[in-house]
Amino acid sequence: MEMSKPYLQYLIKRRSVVLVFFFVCFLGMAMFLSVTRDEPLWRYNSGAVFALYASVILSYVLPVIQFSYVHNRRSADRYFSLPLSRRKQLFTEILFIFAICAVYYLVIMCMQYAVFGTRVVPFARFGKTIVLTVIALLMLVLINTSLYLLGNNLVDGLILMAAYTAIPVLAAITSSAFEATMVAGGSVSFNIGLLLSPVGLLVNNIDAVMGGEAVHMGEIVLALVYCAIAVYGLYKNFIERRAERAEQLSDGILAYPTVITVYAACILFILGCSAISEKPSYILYLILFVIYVIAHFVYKRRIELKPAGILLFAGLLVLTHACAYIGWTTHGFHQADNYELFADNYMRYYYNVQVSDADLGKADRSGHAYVDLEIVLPKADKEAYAEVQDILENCRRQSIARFYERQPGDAYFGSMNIGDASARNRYSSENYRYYRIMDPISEDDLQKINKQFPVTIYDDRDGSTCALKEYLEKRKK
Amino acid sequence: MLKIEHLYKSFGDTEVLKGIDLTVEDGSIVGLVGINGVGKSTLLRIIAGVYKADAGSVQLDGHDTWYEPQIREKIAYVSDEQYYPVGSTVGSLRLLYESMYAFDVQLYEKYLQVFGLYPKMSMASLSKGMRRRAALLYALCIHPRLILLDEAYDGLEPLARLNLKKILSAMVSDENVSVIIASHSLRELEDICDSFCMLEDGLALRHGDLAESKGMVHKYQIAYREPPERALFDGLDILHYEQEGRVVRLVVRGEAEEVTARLKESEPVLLDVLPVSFEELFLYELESRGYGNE
Repeated sequence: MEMSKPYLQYLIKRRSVVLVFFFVCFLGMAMFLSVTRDEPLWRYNSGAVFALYASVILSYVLPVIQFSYVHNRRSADRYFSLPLSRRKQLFTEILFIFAICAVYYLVIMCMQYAVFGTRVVPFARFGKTIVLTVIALLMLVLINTSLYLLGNNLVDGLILMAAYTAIPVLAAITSSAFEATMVAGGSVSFNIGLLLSPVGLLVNNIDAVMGGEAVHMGEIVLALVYCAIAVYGLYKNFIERRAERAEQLSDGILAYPTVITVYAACILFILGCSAISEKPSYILYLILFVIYVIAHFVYKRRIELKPAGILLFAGLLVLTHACAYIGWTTHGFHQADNYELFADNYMRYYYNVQVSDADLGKADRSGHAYVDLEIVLPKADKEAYAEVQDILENCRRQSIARFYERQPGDAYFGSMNIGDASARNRYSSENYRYYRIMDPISEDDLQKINKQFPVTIYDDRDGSTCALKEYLEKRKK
Repeated sequence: MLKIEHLYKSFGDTEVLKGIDLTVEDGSIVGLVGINGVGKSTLLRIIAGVYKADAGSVQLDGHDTWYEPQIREKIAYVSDEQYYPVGSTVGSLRLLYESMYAFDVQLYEKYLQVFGLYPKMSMASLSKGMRRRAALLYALCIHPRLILLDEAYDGLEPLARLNLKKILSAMVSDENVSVIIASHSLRELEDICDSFCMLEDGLALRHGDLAESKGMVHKYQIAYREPPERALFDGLDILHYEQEGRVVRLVVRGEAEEVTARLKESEPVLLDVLPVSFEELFLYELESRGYGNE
């Protein structure tokens, strides 16, 4: 793979004024953000973060500017008839875009470090951040260019780029909706969104490195896989591009057909989960279908939904709802019943439920008492606390059972969340589960717990908090 | 020499070029003609390396214009609609040509004057004809071996057309440049082209020397004592037949002497033989293929 030096020189000269202008703006902005901070570390960090985000934004904007010629028949005539191979042309353009992003970033970062960072950030950490970011920018340039080239015209290129960039967000929302509606104890997690998003992975890593943490190698490998896919996409969408498709509909398999199908499937699945676990909202289905028709209009530039499109929608409806139904009947594909005890050195239980003043084991919406307890059980000594854990796990099992038996309108009175805790991080989110409580722990069991761990009662009438024993005595009086 | 062999190109299910074979000798000016949508622009784009052919090859001086893109440095392609970036001027386009081609500054200065252009002219403010002049200006400044002009005369006023013809003729004679001009302005082509290629249904229906081809087709105006039967002309390669009473007008392909001798056998009262123009040749060819008969 080699570049065309004359073409690179042409690209640089052509954009030289704009490049210098934006560089001065970016540098000025970074410096301005830095000098407005007091702390030396914040001075360095604010400029560094600005440099990172400015470069990331450039990695989105520049492919659109540089490759817009492929989307216009007249400009395609001009640039595809140049005396250089498509491979060379692509490589030179990518190099140009990457060089701008990287040079902007490097110069601003070096200046930031020289002015603000030398005394507060170790050079090794600075170097690691630089290397990681530059690699990240190359990946983003490849991925964003590949996505933009999926379209056959400017508008479609932008829409498809935005749609693919937002798919990780959609996946995260879908996954969270599934967890919340189908999995008893399911916690809202955006992990899948992070894993699907190259920019998410990279910002996450760069953030970690800037904070002095280790690089998440698994995420880097995943980002490299996305990068390889993007290179293949560039080969298909630029080197093998049919120039005659300029200004035509973006009907490639990975263009609108895939995007519309993926979005429709995810949203239908969310609606399916909601319909099966709660009750269906038919108006939302209607709205989605209207959006589906509008999406086809954007795709085909005319209001036309062929029977195949309607059949696809119907097929997705059936498939996603069948999937949601199976998810419900299998307790969230067995996620609700498969939880690990003592995955780490400690287990943390936090329980907070609104109860009757007269009976702390009875849920009552009009009650003024709130049972509040936080327990951290050590793995090393778990036998000593077996009775307490039995009570809490029994409460968990009851909550799971009630989750799948609930009827529309059933009320919850509080929650219990359970997760790993470690000596380093007491509030670790690993193995985190969140349960909504309909049947509180009985008063007798609370008293048993109270023998080993403090149980506190909050009274919302006077805002006071007292121990269980004290509360019971007060109630007796 | 440009050599096109078995060239195929489809757009989806539509086959546009179905095996074109064409050779353009050095120093030749070829008029590429055909009805709308027949594939003239597509053929030029494939030669220029914009489109990839589905099959077949295009070679300029033995180099494939797709697989050996460096040969495109010697191809000047002026498309039917030119692209000018936003904010560009006549002079700002120079950067691309200077970077990518063997750009001749002296020629540039010379042709600026010939075409009445100034470097600071904004492309956005120019008329269609002036924009075309700018495109031609740059195409002529890169010392091409092959010039491809799509609708070359579109928007050009008579003086500019004349200038272009002079320049092309000079380039052909001085530098042995080959030129392919796709145009519907057949009268203009006739003045400048020495050969032609007529596209029809994805194939090069006829191609070759223009004068020779025109010499093979003549108009015959014949008068008889009595209105003749059409069958009287059976055996002739008739492109066009028209009869008004005793007078018949024919356009026949074939050697004029042979056809005249054959017609004289039918004992006409009057027989005139007239030459055909390129435009008539094109029209009669199309008519004989069934176009426009409805």
